Amino acid sequence: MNIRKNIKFSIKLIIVIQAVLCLLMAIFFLSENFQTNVENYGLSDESSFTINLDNRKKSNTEEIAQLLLSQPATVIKENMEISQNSSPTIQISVGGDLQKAPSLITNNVTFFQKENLIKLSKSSDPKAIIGENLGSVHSIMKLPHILFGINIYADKLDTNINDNISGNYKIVGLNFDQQNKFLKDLSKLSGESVSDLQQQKMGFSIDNGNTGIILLSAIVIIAIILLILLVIYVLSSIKEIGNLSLLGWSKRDLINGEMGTYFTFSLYTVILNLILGTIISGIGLKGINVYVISGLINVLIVISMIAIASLIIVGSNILNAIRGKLPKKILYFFAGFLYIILSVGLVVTSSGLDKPVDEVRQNEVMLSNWSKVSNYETLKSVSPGNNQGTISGSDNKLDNEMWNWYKSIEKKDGVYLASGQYYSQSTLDNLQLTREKVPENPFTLLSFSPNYLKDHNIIISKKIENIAYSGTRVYLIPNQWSKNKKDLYKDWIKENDLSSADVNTIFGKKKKIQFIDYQSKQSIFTWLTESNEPNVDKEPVILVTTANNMGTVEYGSLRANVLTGPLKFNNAKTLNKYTSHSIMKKYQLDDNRIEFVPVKEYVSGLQRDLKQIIALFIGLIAFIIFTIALILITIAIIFSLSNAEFLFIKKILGFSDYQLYKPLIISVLTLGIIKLITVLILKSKLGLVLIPAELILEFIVIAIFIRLHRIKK
Amino acid sequence: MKFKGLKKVVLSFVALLSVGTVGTTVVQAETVHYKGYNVSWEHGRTWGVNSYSRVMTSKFRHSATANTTFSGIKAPGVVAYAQQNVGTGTATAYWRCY
Repeated sequence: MNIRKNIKFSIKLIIVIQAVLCLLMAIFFLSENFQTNVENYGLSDESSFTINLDNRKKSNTEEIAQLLLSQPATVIKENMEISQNSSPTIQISVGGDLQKAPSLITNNVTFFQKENLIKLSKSSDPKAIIGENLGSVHSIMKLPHILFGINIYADKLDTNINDNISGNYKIVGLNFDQQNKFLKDLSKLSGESVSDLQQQKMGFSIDNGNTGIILLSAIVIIAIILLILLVIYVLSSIKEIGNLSLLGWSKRDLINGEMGTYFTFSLYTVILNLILGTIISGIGLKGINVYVISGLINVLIVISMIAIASLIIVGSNILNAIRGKLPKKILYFFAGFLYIILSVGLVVTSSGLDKPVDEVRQNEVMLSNWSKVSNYETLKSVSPGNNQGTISGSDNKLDNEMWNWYKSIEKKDGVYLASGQYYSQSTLDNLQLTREKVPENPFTLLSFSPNYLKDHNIIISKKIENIAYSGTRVYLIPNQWSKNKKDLYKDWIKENDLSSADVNTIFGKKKKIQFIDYQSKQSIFTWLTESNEPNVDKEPVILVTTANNMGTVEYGSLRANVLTGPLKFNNAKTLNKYTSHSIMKKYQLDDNRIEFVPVKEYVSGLQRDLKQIIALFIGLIAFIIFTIALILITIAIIFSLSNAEFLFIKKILGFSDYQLYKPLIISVLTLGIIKLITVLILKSKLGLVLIPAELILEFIVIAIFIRLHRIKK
Repeated sequence: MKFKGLKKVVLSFVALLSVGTVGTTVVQAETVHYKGYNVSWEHGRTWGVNSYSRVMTSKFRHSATANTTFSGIKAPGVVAYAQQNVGTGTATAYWRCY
């Protein structure tokens, strides 16, 4: 009886845990809903529309700001602030006529409304905010914080609009004519066409997925534990069930009697969720509907689990039950069910492992290909610092700072720009769908600075070098290409480079391109990382890149902190020379904590991450196989126990072990073949090794089981 | 007595699922629009710990950012890809066209 008491208590405890998890999940959904409402703030109004300013040239900034803020409409600008470590914050800047400002509401909770915003705008503190950001010194009003929810704060648009005029603005409250006039005026001032102003140029996404996934899997695990406990509970009362049926209880009465108490108990958890939710959610009683629904979902899960466990009562034979004999069919069903689920898990996991293993192998190949440049320093990390706008794409301050810095050091020894781009046949085929003039054969386009060319034996004349330094884009085209091929290539390049090339360099103004034939004699290292791209190329096209002849691509890529990013230093000594604090401060890069690492360290960092993932997968696979073996033993025990007399007689009659355990062996083999076919279809290399290994292991387990069992007899 | 095997199964299964959580991949693929053309944008997490963003269009220059890792600006037709290990932290992704 004591054991049954323990089980009863455990079941109730699990129901409570499950209720709390359901509550957390519901609040998580609420916080996601809140995030969506924040992102869409101002868009629900009928008169609202969005404009997207891209004023990288910074022309007429003040006039544009003046125009925006003088509209008889509320102007809203949202910005996501992100840092290396903390969670993101959304900044909502509001300005213009705040009488028309919409309220920010989620699930009946008003975060702020126009009165609050008007108060904000009238505050004498220019840094006044609603909500909290980096302490609450300037906060004039606190905002509720939903558990799991993102941080938000509202501030005055008029005090920060001049820092960065580019970005997406939501305008609320203009009628149709006013909208048209506003767009025309803005177009005139900004130089962007009306349709360009209305086009989105960037976007962001915040994914808090892990919280949701962890909660969801916790609920699944807990529900399964609940089911198993319920099954154990029913099995432990099997004799009682037999006796009660003998007394004339119907199966329905039995289920009611055995399980009813858990259903009633689960109803109490609705009240629990209501109280707990009010305390922890951050919005008090206003989330009452959410808490109650989460409680009801818990009740629903409990009912489902009770229904499944009740199958044992429904399927049990009264006579067997009285004798305390377990219903073996149902046990087979449960064990078989787990066996199949785990098998699916094994197939999925082993095919999932293919990718990280492949990547590790690929990185190793790359590292050996890259051995000559493994000590070169490459950009690893850039903190947003004061340049949140550049990270989120609304301005290019950080790009300008990087460019100014690079320009000051570009002629120094050991400072390089080196990157490659491979145009494969499929890339070119894709391009052909949207353009007429596209090169026909795959080729590599390399971007090298004059310094890099000189130090790597690709000799160009001083004259060409100077042309490049003075702002003309210089392309070196392999001599051995046919005239047609060259012409096609040149046309394509011109179209590429000259389309919307509004970049703040000499090339951006003069737009001059020069093509020069060169005789390539050697294999040139391409800086490409993918396994299907060439590591060296004998006839690449080379763009001689300088600060002055940069186009949009090169200008904006200086801060690229991926391995294929262009900025490199030949060793740590050179790096330290040009990244000292005083230099960084001079170019306003000290807030960005720019960090370079040697190429080999960058790759080994990637390898470390990958190996962790692989270790995790291998642990998981080992675990699944171990569990499968355990289940197999359980099934074998059920089989041999429930057929004990039958097996004994057969053995005496001289049947072999194989014949005795034929049904078990055949089932395992059949499922094994199905698994093998599945991994073949999934083309999982590891699965092809793992599944046969697992199958052999299963047969060993069966063989050991049979042998041990025989000795017992 | 006969529940022993079952109990083991319970415990094993619990552990399995908690490890399995980390192996989950959350991928979100969407098509965004720039100047009336489709831009394909895929972002999310791989293996639970890496935030990534992948942007591709054959029409415009474009870039991808995952948290603070920036792909650089890519020419039309070339994939822009950025990835960053964020552990269990928030994964943020951006796309941009030029």
